[in-house]
Amino acid sequence: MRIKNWLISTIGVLLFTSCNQLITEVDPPQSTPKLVVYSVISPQDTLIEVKIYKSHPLFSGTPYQSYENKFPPLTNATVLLSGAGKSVTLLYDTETETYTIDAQLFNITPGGQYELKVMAPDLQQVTAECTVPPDTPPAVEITHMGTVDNYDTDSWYMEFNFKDLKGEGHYYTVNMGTFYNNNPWTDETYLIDMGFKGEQLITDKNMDESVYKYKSYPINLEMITYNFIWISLSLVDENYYKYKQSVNSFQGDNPFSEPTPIFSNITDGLGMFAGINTRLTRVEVER
Amino acid sequence: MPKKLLLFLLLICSTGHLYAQVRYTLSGYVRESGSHELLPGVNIYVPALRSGTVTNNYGFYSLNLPQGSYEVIFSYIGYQTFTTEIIFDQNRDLDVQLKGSISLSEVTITAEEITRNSENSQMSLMVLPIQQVKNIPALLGEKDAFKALQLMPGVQKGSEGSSGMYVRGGGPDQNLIILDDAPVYNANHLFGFFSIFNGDALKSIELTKGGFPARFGGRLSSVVEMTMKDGNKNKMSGEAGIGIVSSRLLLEGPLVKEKASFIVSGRRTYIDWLIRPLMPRDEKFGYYFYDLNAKMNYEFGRKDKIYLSGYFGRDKFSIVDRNNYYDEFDNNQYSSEAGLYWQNSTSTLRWNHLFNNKVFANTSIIFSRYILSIYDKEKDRYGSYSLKYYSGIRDFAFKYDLEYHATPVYTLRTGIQSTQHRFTPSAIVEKDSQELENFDYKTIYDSFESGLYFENLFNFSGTAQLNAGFRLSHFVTDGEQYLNPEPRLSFNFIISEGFSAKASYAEMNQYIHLLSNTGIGLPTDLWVPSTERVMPQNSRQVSAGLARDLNNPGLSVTLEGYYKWSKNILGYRPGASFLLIDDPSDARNFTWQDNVTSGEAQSYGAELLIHRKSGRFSGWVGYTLSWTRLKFDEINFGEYFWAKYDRRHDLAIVAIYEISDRITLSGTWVYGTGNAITLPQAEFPEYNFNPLHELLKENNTNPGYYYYMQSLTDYGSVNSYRTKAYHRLDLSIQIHKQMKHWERTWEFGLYNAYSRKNPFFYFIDETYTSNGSISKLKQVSIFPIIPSISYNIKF
Repeated sequence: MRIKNWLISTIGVLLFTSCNQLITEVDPPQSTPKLVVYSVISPQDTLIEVKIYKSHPLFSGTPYQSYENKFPPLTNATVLLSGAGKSVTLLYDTETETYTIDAQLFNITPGGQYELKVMAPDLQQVTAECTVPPDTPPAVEITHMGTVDNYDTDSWYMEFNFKDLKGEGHYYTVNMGTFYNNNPWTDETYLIDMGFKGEQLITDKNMDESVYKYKSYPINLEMITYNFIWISLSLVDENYYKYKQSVNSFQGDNPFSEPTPIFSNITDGLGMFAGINTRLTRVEVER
Repeated sequence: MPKKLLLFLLLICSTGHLYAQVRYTLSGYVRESGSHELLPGVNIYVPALRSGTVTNNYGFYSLNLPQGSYEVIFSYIGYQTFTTEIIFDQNRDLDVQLKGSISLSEVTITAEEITRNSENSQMSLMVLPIQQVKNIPALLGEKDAFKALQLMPGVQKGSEGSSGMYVRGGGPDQNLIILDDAPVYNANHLFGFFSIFNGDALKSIELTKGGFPARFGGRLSSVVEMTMKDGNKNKMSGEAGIGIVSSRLLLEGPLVKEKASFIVSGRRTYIDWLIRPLMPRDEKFGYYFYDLNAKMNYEFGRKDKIYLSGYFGRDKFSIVDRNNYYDEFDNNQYSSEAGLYWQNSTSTLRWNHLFNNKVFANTSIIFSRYILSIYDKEKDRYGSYSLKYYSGIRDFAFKYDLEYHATPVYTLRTGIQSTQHRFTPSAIVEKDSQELENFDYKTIYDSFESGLYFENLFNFSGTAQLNAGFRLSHFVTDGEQYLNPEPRLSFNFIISEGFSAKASYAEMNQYIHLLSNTGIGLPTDLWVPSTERVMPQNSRQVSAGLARDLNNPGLSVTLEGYYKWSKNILGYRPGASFLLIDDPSDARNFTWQDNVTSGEAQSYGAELLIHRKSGRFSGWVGYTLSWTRLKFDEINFGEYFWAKYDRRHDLAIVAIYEISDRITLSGTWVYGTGNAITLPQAEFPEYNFNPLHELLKENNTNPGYYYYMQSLTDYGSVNSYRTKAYHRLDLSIQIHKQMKHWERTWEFGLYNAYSRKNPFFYFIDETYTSNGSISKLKQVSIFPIIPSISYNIKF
C-alpha cells in the first residue's frame, strides 16, 4: 500500500507541478433526472412492492447533503402493473415508502409475464417487462452439520449443496440467515445474515447440471436463538442476475479499474424489474 | 487504362519468354561514403528500362537486366545521387558508396531521388528519414522516433505527451516493435512520456500499417521496424548532447579498418542527481532512466558479415527512508528502501550470407526481455520485512530469411522464425522475520510461437507489382495449440508514370496480449499468452489507395482507405483491475483470465499523406478520417461503442525549413478530435433486495438492521462523451556552426507554443458548500507552453 501511495503521489507531483492553472472547468454531459424503478416480484409474495426514486444528475448544480437527501422516494408517481390479462394500479404507502398492492389482488404465477409502467410529473414515462422463472428451485441437500471451536466459543457450521436444473439459462441466488433475540424479556427478533463459502449469484452458462457446494462460516451457537436457520434458494431471471452482477462489480471512483455500468431493464429509466421464485429450507440445529 | 491492364496480362503470360533473353545480374552493397555504413532502402533505377529495385535491410541489392549498356542511378534521401554507365555483358558485382549532401546547394531533388511509392507494391508503409526525426520539435527537446511516427496519418497518440501509438484503431499492444530483429515489449520511459528510441543510434525507421508482407506476423495493427547503425568503419566519430531532461553520447569507429566497427550510444536523465542534495538526509527519493545501444560488426568478405547488437534500458523510482523514532521503551531505528523499476534488454546476433549474386540469406539469434520489479525492504529493532514482486516476459528466438532474385520479374522471399516466450505475469517473494509463514509464489507460462512464410514478388516494370504471400503461424502454450494460415496480398498497378493504384489484403493473428489499466501507461501492464480460454486475436484488413510521385517539387502523395475487422480482441470486464501494486501479495490470487473478455472491433477510414522528404523545405501533411468501434458481450451490455481513441479527424502538419547552412527552423501543428470516454452522468440509489428477508420479514420483528446502501453511477453508454479537441503548435530553431574539430548545434524549442490547455484527463470535483456538495467536471492539462534548450556536438 505504501508503494502505491508513494507512486501515485510521485505521478501527481510529476503531472501537476504547475497545477492550478492547468485545471479548468469544462462543460459536463447534459443529463436530466430519470425515473429509478425497483421491483422484484415472486409467487411467494404476500405484498407486491415497487420502489421509485429519481436519479440525481451529477452536474445539476443542486447541492445535496446526505444519501436520503439525494434520493428521496418519489411519492407522486402512477404505477401500473399488468399481466395475465389484468392490470392494477399500485398505491403509495408512506410507512414502507413503496408503491404496493396485496398479492391476493394480483397473483404472481411461475412462468407469468408482467409489465410495469410508471409515470411521474416532469419525468419521462418508463416501462419494463419480466418473466417469473417457471421452474421450482431445486431442493437443497444438507450434507454435514457440526460444531467447531472458534476463538474459544462453540460455533456451529453446516455444509449443503444443490444441483442445477436441467437445461441452460438458469440463474440462482443463495442466502442464509437465522433469528436472534438478544433480549429474552421481549419478543424482538433480528434476522441475521450468515456468511458462507460458495457462489451466491450463479449462472449455469456452460455449467449445466453442475452441483454447487456451500459451507457456512462458523456462527456462535449463542446467536442461534431459536435452534434453526433458514436457507433460501431462488431461481431468478436474467434481469436480477445482471443487475446484481453489475452492482457487485461496481468500483465507485476507483481510477485504476474499468467503469462499471449498472445493468437496467427499465426502458428510458434506471433500475430493475425482475421475477424470482424461491424455495425456503428450514434447518434444525442440534446443540 | 484498359490497354495497360492488357499489357499487364500479356506480361504475366509472357514471363517465360522474357527469361529466354540473354540477361545478366548486377548486385552488390550500397554504403555511406566515409563511414561505410550499409544503407537500406536505396533506390536503384535504370531509366532506359523504367526498371529498378531498392536495397534490402542489409544494404544488398540485385538487379537482373537484359544484355546492353545502361545508365544506372543510385539515390537516397540526404545523399548525393550516384550515376554510372554499365555494360551488361556479364554478371557484375558493384558496391557503391553514396556521399552525404554537404550543403544546401547540393540538395536538388530529382525524380529518382525520391523513393518511388508509385512503383512499389507495398502500401501503408511509412518511411521516416532519421534526419527529419532529429529536426522536428520535441517535448523538452528529447527527440523521439515514436512521437515523430505519431505525426503520420493512421497513427494516433494516446493521451497528452504519450509515446504510445494507436494504429488504424488498434491498441499499443498490437504494434510489433522490432529493433534489429528483436521485439521490444515496453518502449516507454517515464510512464510513456518518452519512448526508448531517441534516434541517435538508428539507421532507419519503417512503419507498416496494413498490407503486411508475409515476413511479419504476431501483431494485428502495425510493424515498426528499426535498424541500428553499424558504426563508422573508417574513423572514430561521435555525437554528444546536453538537454533539460537528459544528456547523451554516441561513439563509433573502426575495430579493424574497413572490416569491423562498433557503435555505442547512451542517454541518461539527471534529475535525481540534481535534486538529491536538496532532500532531507534521512529521506531520499530518486528517479532516472537510461538507454544503452551497442553494436559491432565484422565483414569476412563480400559474402559474409556478422553483427552483434544490443539495447539495454531501465527506469527506476526509489525511496530510501532512515529515521529514528521513539517508542515507549526506547529509541527505535527504522530503515526502509522501496522502489519500482522496469527494464528492457534485447540482443541480436546476425549473420548475412551471400550465396551468389541472386541469393541472400540472413540468420538471426535473438534475445529479448522485459521485466518490472517492485521491492520493499523494511527493518527496525523488532525485525525485518522484505517483499519483491516481479513480472515480465523473456524471449529466445531463431530467425532465418532467404531472398532469391530469380528473374527480373520474380523474387522469392522465404523464411522461418521460432520464438520461445516465457511469461511471468506475477512472481512474489515475501519474508517477514516475525511471521513463521513466508511465501514464494510464481506463475509461469512457457509458449512457442513460430511462423513460416513465403513472399512471391512479381515486378512487371512500368506496369505492375505484386506480392503474393502466405504465412503459417503456430502457437503452443499450456497444452493448447493454434495453427493459422495468414494469406497476404499486395498489388500495385501503374496507371501512368509516377501514378499508381494499390490494393492489399492481410490476415494477422496475435498470440500474446497486454493487460493494461484504463488510460494509464503504467509499466505494470502485463504480457500474457493466449490460453485455452483466451483465444488469439485475429484481424483481416483490406486497403486500397492511390500513390502519386510528383517530380517537381519532389512530393510523394498517397491516399488510402482501409477496413479492418478484428475478432477475439481483448477487453476488460467491468470493474477489472490489473494493478497489482495495490497489494502485491494479491499476486497469489491473481486470476487474469477471469478479468478479460473477448470481442470484436471494426476500424475503417481514409488517410492522406503529402510528404517531401528532403530539400531546403521539407516535411509533410497527414490527415486521417477514421472510425473505430468495439463490441463485447460483457461490456456496454453487448452494444457497439466507440473505442477510446476513436478519432474522427486527425491532422498533422510538419514543416522543416533550412534557411541557410547555419539555421534550421521547424514547426509542427497537430489537431485531433477529442477522445471518447465514459463519464458519470447521474447517481441513483442501490436496491439491496434479499429474498430471505422478504419472505421472513413478518417474523423479523425488529428490522432495524440496514444494509449499507451506496450511490450507483449512471454512465450512459460506454465512451459516449468526447473530451475537448486536441491541438498544439511546436516550434524549434537549430543554429549550427562548424568549428575546427566538430560541428555544434544549439537548439531552442517551444512545445505547445500558444499554450493550449489540452485535455489529459477529466475528473469530478466535489465542492462542499453550506447547502451541501456540488459536483463539477474538471479537465486537467499537463503541458502548457514549455521551452527547451539543448546543446549538441558532432565530431
